[in-house]
Amino acid sequence: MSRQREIRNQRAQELQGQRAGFVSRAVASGIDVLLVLCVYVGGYVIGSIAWDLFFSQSVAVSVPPHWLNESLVWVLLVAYLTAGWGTAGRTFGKQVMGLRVIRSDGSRLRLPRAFLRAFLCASFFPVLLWALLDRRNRGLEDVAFGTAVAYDWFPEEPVTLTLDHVEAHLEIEARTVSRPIGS
Amino acid sequence: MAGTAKVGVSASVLVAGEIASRSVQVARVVLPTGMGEGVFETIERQVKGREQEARRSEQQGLGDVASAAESVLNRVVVEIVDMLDMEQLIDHVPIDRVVARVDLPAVIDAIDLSGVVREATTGLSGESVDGLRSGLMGMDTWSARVVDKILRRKQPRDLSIHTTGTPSMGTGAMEMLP
Repeated sequence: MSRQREIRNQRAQELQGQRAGFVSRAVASGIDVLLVLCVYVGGYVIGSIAWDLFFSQSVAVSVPPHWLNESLVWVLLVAYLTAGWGTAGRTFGKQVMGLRVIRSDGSRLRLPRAFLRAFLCASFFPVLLWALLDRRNRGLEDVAFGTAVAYDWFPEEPVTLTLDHVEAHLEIEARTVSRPIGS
Repeated sequence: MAGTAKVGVSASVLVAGEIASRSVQVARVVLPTGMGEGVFETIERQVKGREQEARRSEQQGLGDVASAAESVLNRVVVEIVDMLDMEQLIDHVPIDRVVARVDLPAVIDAIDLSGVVREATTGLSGESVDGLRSGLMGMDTWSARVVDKILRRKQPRDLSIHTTGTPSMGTGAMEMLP
């Protein structure tokens, strides 16, 4: 059974694979930031309570210095965005909004570029505002690193590789390698 | 009633035909050979024709009688059911024993309840997410149009992605099977 669903809205159907606009991207980023904040706060509170339960006489959640909170949230955000964009091309927020981060030539984003993009976005959120002004809906992070954010509601089913596929591929490789130089 | 009468008449005709046929056979044995042969053949032909007609009529009559009986039976059953006190009847039916006999897991397996629930929830959540995405997509277009109007741009925005590298859109992840 296919996981593909039909897109009923015709305009939405036409825009699949096109550059996404500011509002969708801002909402997706908001969801991501909120998620990271929840994970940080939840993790800190649970960790703090667990520590007190095992190594302290009383249970109390202390408030760490602001600079430490900000630094840890920033690190978490950069790691999360890098992992999302560098692997599946989307984070949870972008998954909800049906968006995908790709290179401007349509190819998959690799981890180094994803890290640089995440670094810039986590450090300076307003870079996204440029998408409102740019003629091609690019934020400053897209201009800087040659990336794009496209509407991609339903990615296709994962391609399943069987041994036959691998053998066929290896055969082609072997033929290419064994070809004489200059032929 | 007409159907019943038809069946009765047909049966009488068949009996009469049988008697006539036997009489002809007896007459053939008793009378000298060749005597009255033409008459016997004519009688036999007539009797056969009548018999066939009677059989057809009998079949039709039987069909009519069956449908009439069914109609009467239905009416009688409906009348009897109307006369019954359903509340009392239900009180006397051992529903627990009936339910105990039903193989519920088998029934649920046959229905594929989990599949039905999965389809329904997927459909509902999917449609609401699609609605949200479509709404925000509309706001994307609207906000871009407003900005373009303020900046007095005449050309619409170029939203296409010129693919030259390995396509990543809609390819999904690859997984290996042993």
